[in-house]
Amino acid sequence: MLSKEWLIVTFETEYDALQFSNLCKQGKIEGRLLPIPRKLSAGCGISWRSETSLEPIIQELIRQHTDDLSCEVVKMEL
Amino acid sequence: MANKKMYLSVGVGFGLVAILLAYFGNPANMAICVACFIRDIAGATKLHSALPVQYLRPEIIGIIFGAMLMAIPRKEFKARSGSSTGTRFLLGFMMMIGALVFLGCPLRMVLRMSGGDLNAYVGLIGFVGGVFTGSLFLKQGYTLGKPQDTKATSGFMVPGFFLALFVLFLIVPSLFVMSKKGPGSFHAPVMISLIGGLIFGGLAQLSAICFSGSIRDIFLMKNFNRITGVLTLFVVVLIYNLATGNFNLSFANQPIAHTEHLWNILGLYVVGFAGVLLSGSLRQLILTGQGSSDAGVTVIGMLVGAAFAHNFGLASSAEGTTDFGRIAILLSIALLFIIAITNLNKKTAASAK
Repeated sequence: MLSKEWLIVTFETEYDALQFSNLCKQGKIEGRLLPIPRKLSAGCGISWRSETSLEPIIQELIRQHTDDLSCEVVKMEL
Repeated sequence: MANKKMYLSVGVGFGLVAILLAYFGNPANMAICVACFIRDIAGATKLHSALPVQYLRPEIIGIIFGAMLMAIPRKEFKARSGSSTGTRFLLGFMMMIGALVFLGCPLRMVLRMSGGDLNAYVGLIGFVGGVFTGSLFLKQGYTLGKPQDTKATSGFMVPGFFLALFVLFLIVPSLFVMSKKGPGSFHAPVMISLIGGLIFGGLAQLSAICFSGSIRDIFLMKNFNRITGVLTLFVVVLIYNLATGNFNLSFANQPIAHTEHLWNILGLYVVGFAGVLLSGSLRQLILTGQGSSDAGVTVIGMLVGAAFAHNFGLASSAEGTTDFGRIAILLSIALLFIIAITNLNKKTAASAK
């Protein structure tokens, strides 16, 4: 199977991940929750995956909720 | 796909460690069990005096340090603490009570299932139910808060405590109690137990696998990657049991098990629910090895819980559950709901309505 580059948002807690997922749903931003890729964390946490083309929208969403969210955005092949 | 292959390999590794430990003398259907082995350590150090379950299990020390030895070179050892540490102590305590009423942690549940113990299949219903309940609270905004970076030395304290016990055990074994009969008297040679634990802990750290997390992933994300490792462990040990004539499909006469279905379900319900509220059940040992003092305190909560479970007659035996054990399970379930509700983030709870 061919791998593809994705935008991955990682969070400090599961709570942050689920809250971010709700925000994306409210903003109709396409993507999905997935277990955090092992390369990015030694935890069994949750991350968000979207198309890389959505990066500007996702960065803006994070900026709007910067006080509530603790997250990092990376691009990686999955 | 690469992920699936890793989980398959790790599941095979887990299975081989379990087989090795069983072959070299660990108790039947209990080749490796986090709850039982912490309980045995509580007995060995005289925190409880239940004669059949006292032995300083090197596997536990091995799991913590296997995780640490894997985490340090990968730069994944991080000394952190401060995520509702007191609450985690209580959750660890209750997780142990649940496990000792069922007679096993989720890991032993899988080993019992692969040995044909139908009571473990009944218990699985409760475990899945507990994880489902915890996942619902996660969706509603449950959180114990973010841990903070702390001094590196703090991350070594709980691992160091267990290492000190183990070194003392090697130098002056007479300080510790060792069962002469019962499950505590069955054990592999010390170094094989230690190596088995080291490999198990290293693999668990490498894969970030987690029993309650693997079911949580299905509920929250419909993701089956982590459960692949657990299922592989089940299949590997099942094949070993079938090949060696140790597979016995029945409810009755299973080693170190009872047939009270309701309490098998509710015992593991507590474990699954607490496991999700803690973000991991057996994984607490791995996180302790990665420097989390929150997880370390959770493990100490499990150790204290094991001592209380035997000192106050809460733990089950092959004869069945006890009155106090059943009451403790009901109280634990009530407390788990209180902890889950009181740790809901109000903002998220309001927006979810």
